[in-house]
Amino acid sequence: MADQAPVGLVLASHATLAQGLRAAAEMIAGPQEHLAVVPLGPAENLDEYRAKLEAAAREVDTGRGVLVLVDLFGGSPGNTAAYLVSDQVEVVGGASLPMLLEVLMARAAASPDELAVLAARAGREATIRFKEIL
Amino acid sequence: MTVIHMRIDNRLIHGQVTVSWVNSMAANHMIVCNDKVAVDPIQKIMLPQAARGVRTSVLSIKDTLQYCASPEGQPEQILLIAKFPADGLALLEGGLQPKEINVGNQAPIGGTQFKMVTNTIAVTADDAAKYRAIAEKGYRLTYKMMPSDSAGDFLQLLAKKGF
Repeated sequence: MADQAPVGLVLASHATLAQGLRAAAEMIAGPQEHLAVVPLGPAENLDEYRAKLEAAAREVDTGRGVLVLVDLFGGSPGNTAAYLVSDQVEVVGGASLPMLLEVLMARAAASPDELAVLAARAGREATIRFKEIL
Repeated sequence: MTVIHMRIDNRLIHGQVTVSWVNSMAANHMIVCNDKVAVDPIQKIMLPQAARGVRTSVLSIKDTLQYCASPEGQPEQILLIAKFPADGLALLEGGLQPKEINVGNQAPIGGTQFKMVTNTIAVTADDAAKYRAIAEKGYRLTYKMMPSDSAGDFLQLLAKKGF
């Protein structure tokens, strides 16, 4: 199947985790487009944060929809990302580097809901206790 | 007295609250109180999920007052989270008598004339009046971030910051 325009990606987190995830992913997978980072600062107003998230989702959307990866389900960024869930926007919590890398590799060929399912599985499967392998 | 602690925090439920404060207070029920949040279908689902296993209700001011006075609410150890100082004051005016009141976070609201009195608490002149009214009901308002912090006097801080 020919690659289409990728699903847009938004990384949302407390503090600078989102920036960190982006930097780490780009170190491994190269510079990424259609990817926005929306950090929540310590004294930030959540209504303003929601507006930033919505703007970021619009900015990265190539017409194929958006996947938001947020650090913590139930934290303030996650609570706010919940408002973005729609036909065109999926949100997955528990954002991690393994999850992000899987999503980056699949997003040109998958729909937002397929990516969300993949992201959730990738996040879970990537948690490995070394002593079980070595 | 069912409400062992009232926290004024416009971030509502977040890590600090669920991990540190609930344990330290031995609370078995968290009530988030604000009329708008109480009718927000997304928050009514998400907030209890953020609570890491502690029973959580999201109620209007009127329903909070009713619940705390009810036979169901009376034997509980309730940690009450009022979104704004106005909510806290309305609860006190409605007869609620929490054991103590602490100001947690108040993120600044764009477009208002606020001053940051700590790096997480924004205050407008109207807020300051509400905090003073709360204190006039017989409370020494504190502004601890963590339960183990020393209990600074919030009104003294407001005075120092020009309110």
